[in-house]
Amino acid sequence: MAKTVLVVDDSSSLRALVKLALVRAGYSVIEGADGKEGLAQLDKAGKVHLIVSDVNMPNMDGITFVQQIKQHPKHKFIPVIMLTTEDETAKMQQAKAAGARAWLIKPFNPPELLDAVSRLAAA
Amino acid sequence: MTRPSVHIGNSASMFLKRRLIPPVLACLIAAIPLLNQVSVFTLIPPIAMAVLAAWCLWRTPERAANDSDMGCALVGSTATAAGQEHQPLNHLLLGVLPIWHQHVVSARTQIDEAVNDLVGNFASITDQFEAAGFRSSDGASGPGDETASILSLCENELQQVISLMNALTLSKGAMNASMQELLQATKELQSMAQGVAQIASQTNLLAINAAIEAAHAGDSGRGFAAIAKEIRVLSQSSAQTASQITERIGRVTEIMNGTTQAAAKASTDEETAIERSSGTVSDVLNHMRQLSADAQTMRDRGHVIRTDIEQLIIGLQFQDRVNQLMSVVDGDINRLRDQIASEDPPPPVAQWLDELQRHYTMREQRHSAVAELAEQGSAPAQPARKVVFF
Repeated sequence: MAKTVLVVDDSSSLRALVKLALVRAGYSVIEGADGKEGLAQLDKAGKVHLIVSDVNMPNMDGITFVQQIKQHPKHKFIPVIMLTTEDETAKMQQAKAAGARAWLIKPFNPPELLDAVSRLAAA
Repeated sequence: MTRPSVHIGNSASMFLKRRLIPPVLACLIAAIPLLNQVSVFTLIPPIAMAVLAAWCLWRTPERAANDSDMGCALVGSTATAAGQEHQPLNHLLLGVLPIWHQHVVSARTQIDEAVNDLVGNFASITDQFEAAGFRSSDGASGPGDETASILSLCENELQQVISLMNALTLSKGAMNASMQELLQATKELQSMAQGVAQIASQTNLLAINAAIEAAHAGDSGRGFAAIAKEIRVLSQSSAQTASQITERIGRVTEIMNGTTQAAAKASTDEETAIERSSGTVSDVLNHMRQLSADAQTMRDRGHVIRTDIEQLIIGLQFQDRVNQLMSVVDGDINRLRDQIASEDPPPPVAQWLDELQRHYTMREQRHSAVAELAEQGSAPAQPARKVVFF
């Protein structure tokens, strides 16, 4: 059975590109446009194996989203990859402190994203 | 008393000329690659903005050069006059900035939708390619591997069938040889039967002679004459039996001749059939080898398609980066509109730029020089960096 990945990004085209890469690799993808939608999708969906999230988003940013997930008893073990244009070390450290497992700067290279996804989704 | 709007008007125009317009121009240059993705009408306001900026810079170059900082408040009648001079510009900006905002939002939306459509169409095309068998050799085994293994299996099984048919032909050959030996034996039997018939004939002659001699002997030869008579009867009986044996052996020989000829014809037909079957099997195997080669070609082409898709995914991410640039510019247009509308004294340039930079996320945004921005904006997407695992 295909593993499910939640992709959270305010850019629908970026979500489509990530989805294209993941679906071709055999993953099932659900989407959210910001942190709030991401949380709603987690509550609505069944088993989610991994989350790929942007950092800078309206309504709820990626760092806050990760903090919320890590406080949730059901979702706190889901690994999160931050996929962002943000290249400031301080932001990366914030994400690490919040509980994210990896940091990847856009534009992403599909094989690298898939490698990170397969490593963290298998854990 | 100097009206606040006077200061604001002058400061705002200086701010536009020296600080805001260059980065906006740079962002517009950065968005040049999107020209084929958006409506021409959407581009009119940004182009108008660029023309207006160029006009402002051309019209007051000396004054702009002499103003060291927009944050320095202008006082006195000179400032008042300058402010009054730019009062229409404030009204113009308050009317135009919301429209610029709308068009920037519209451009972002249209680009986003266009890239979404491109991604959707491309996903559909790649699905069709994969359905047609153009699957990359990377990853799980594809149809090409299955074809190769089926080819190997078929070749082994067909070779076994050919071997069995050859063994059958050899077996038939041994049977034909046995039948030839049997035919030879019946000929010998026929010869022996003829020998028996000849012996019977001679015995009959001998019995006749014995009877003649017994008659010459008179009464003393009567017993011998009786024996000679019986011997003649026996010889006639032997001759009759030899004749029957010869007749039967002749029939058997005829049957065996027919059988041998039929067996020889069957062997010839079988050899021809096996020869044809071997040719057909070779043709089938050649076709399957060709299929296998085609499958390998399709796998190779699938690999090229896969690489192209990866490059496309990287390339299309320019939209996300341009979106980030435009989002920050859009936010600053709104902030400038609010600033002018508030009629408050404008903040120092450094403070304004600090607030602007707070929204930067990318390296190219942090470069302030227009030339550097333009160079990066027109360049292709930056190569992807490695994943950092925590």
